[in-house]
Amino acid sequence: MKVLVINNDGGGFADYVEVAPGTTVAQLFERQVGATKPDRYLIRVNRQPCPTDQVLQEGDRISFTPTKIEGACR
Amino acid sequence: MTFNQNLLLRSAIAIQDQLHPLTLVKSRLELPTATWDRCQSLLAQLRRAIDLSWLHSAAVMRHDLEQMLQQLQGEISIFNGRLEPLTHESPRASVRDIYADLVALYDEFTEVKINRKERSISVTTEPIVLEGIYLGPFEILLNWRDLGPGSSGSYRVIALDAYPAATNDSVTHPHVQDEGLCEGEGRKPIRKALEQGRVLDFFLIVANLLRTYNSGSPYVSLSDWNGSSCADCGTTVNSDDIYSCEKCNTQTCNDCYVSCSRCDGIYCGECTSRCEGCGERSCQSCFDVCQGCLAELCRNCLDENERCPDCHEKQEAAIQSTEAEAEFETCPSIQSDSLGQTPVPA
Repeated sequence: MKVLVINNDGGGFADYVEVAPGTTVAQLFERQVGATKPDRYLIRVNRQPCPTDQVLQEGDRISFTPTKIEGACR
Repeated sequence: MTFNQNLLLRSAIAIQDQLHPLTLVKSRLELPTATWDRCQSLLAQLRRAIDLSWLHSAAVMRHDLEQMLQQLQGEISIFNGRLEPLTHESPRASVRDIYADLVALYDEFTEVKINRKERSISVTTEPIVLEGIYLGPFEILLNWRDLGPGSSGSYRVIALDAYPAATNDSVTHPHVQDEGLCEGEGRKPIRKALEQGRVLDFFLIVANLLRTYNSGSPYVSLSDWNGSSCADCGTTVNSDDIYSCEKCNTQTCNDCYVSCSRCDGIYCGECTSRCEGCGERSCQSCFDVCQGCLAELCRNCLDENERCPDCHEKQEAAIQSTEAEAEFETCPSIQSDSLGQTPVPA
């Protein structure tokens, strides 16, 4: 099934990806973001906060936004 | 959270229209015909110069034509780049997505304002406190004309209860100057969110940027936020412009610190004195007492015998006088030749 994944880290990936039925938010997070701790991200499914063990559904919109994003001076 | 569904829906439709690639590029879709015409004109002149065997003119025409062809290639390349958004398959927010984003803003932020006339959306963050320094709440104001492919990304970050850096009023946050946010590592995701019309993500990223302090690259570091006060004149200055007295550690500014004229050490005004001999300020360690008159002078003004210029002159004069006397006493007696022995004629 396809879900829309938005990773607001690094280059700002946003695209539809194929996931197996039964995939949880935590599994998708590990696959898309890597070994970083999920508590360092705002994780939203269909724009709502969610538990990491929530099972994804076809067409879900999942976004990962780092809570710490470093600005600069120029 | 209450919101006007009709306003949100109408705004979502307007924003989605803005995202349509044609909206942005249609006004710029013009082939570089003027440059092409110029190339044709130069080519005609080159042919005529060759026909007339005007070799110098032909060389000039050829050079000009080469340059014009390069310009034409550049303009074609730019035109081609403008066509790219028309074929790019990046997911772009639908009216439904944008509407859902606008609704979600009310869950994420304490205040949301949508102004269809101004074509703007703004949210207000909670009061931002970084490393114990209160910076107040910020309004993030986005004009949705800045959404879509090739967006300039101009938005404003307005301090609503500004507590700017002591040394620079225009810096209201370590990464905000003149209401402009320096995005640092947030730059790419912000561009991407604006390009795809992901309004909610844009505001979340900017808000998280405001909640984060990067000590490696601020406009004004938080350690300097309140500035440092000069003990001599009371001015508040950046800590880079503060000097610490080598004797008493008092902090003085660039205008008030004293560099000792003799040892080049850095001191505050109170730990230096003006030398009565030369008028320069020196630290106490570089002052000494004249062995003659006991006046305190800087060591630059004392001779090798630790005497001030006046005493030095007096001493020199005394020495010269003594030497003269000594010379007088040690010299053989000056007597008239054969005094008292004047020959007397027989």
